[in-house]
Amino acid sequence: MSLAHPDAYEPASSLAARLTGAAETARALAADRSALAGMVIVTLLILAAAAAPLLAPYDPNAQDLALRLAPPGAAHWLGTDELGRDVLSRLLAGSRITLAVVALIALTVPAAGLAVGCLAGFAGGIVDAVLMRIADVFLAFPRLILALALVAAMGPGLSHALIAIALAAWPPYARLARAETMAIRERDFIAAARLSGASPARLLLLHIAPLCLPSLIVRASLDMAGVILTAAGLGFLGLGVAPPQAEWGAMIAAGRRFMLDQWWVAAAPGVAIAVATLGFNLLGEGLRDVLDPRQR
Amino acid sequence: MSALLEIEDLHVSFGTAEAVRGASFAMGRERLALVGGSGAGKSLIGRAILRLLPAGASMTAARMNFDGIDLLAAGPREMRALRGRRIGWVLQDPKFSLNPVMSVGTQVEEMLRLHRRLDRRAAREEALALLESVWLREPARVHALYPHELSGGMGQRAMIAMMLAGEPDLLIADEPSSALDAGAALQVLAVLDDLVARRGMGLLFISHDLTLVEGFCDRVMVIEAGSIVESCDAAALGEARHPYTRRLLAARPRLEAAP
Repeated sequence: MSLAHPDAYEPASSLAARLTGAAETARALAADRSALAGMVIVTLLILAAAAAPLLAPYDPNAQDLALRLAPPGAAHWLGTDELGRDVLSRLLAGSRITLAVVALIALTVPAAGLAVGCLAGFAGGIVDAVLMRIADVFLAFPRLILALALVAAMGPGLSHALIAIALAAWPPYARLARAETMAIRERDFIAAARLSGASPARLLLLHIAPLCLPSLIVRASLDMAGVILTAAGLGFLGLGVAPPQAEWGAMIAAGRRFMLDQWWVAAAPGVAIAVATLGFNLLGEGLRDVLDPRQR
Repeated sequence: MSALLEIEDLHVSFGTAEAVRGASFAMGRERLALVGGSGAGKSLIGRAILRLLPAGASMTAARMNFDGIDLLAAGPREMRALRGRRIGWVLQDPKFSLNPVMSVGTQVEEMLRLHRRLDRRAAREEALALLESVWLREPARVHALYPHELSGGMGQRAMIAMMLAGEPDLLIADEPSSALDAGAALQVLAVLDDLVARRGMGLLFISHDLTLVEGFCDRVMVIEAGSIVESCDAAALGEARHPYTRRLLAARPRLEAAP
């Protein structure tokens, strides 16, 4: 470290600090075998979804009625469905939907929960009471039922399914952020910031919200498996994407009719859902151990 | 000496329990100590000046002026403009009073940007200068450190650097050295002494340590059960009359008094 050039030092050091931080997290994750497995599964899933058009041997929507319900073989590795469409290609196309749902929910829901929870915990009083009672109303229903009811009310479609999942998923995040905020609010450095003239908005954005983030990230990563299941559940019930498009839940629903004789039609998406869920769960638990030593 | 801070008949109470009973004092740009035992109400007086009392406490006063500003009439926005900018506050334990997830330098820079509206580059340069002014050697290195990487004494000096960012006229130090070991405490006091002298700030030094205060401050006020019972020059503390002050003086540890 060269003290002769103090100006050159800072960017290098803060970048280095950030990189070491990220590298440490990655190393700790890799040291945990199940977390490593989760990381590998999720990475493969992301790669497969990103490269789906290149990897898919056929057009996922191309029908070939002469080849309907063909068993897995050299031409169709995972067989074909009732309209002669290649199951593997549809599986890859469906992974894009699943990951898009996961990504959008993972970005929006914790952010909304953080905003509501921090505000409620920090303001207290009537604001807290009103926001938390609203959260209670949403929490009173099982998540899948609530999402179902919301989609049923709005009509089927991917965007409606997303809105429904988000609306059903935010309350636990708000609760968590509120609890964290109430604990952080009492700490001395918040008092110090207040004593040195920080406005409430500044306290929230600069000092409180960043400290709530780790637990919300952990919660989100553990939650993603549930989001995959909810999305697949909505698809299974015909409330997800519109029919010709491939979606894992809808594929199982279609394959259900031939489950005993042509098992591969339903089994392939079923296994895909199970593996994806497992991957996110393992990764989530690994992240929890790394980011939140208190819950270890 | 023109008064920087004037307080008349300040009362702070929690419901029916009165914690500060009619405190009155005035101070200029001097080093004034507020000494008393735990629960005597010394920190409450300090917090009342910034109008940031703990939940459940209420205050009344006949008069409270800071440099011509009526603190009793000031709204929340005006009070916020005073805090940090005109009146700085150093808390007891730097382990808890610094944000654990921000580097020391960033925290100082935040204060500079909040109070002095400096841009990034200017804030960084000023932050390094401030860290150096509180006798932190290698300011560029300290700048990048996080609070848990600092020793107690370094942390407290970083805290002081933060509080100096707004260039306050009055610094309130609430037991700034009592969480530190003797060596670090002396250094922190020396830094405070140096800054008060160089910047011409007023210092309200809240402490329970009469010996420390006697050598460090110009004037001493002794507070007992919410009332100011003694107010005199630090040098004249030996001639203090009030029985509580005499008891405090008698309770000082003395080397020659060893059996």
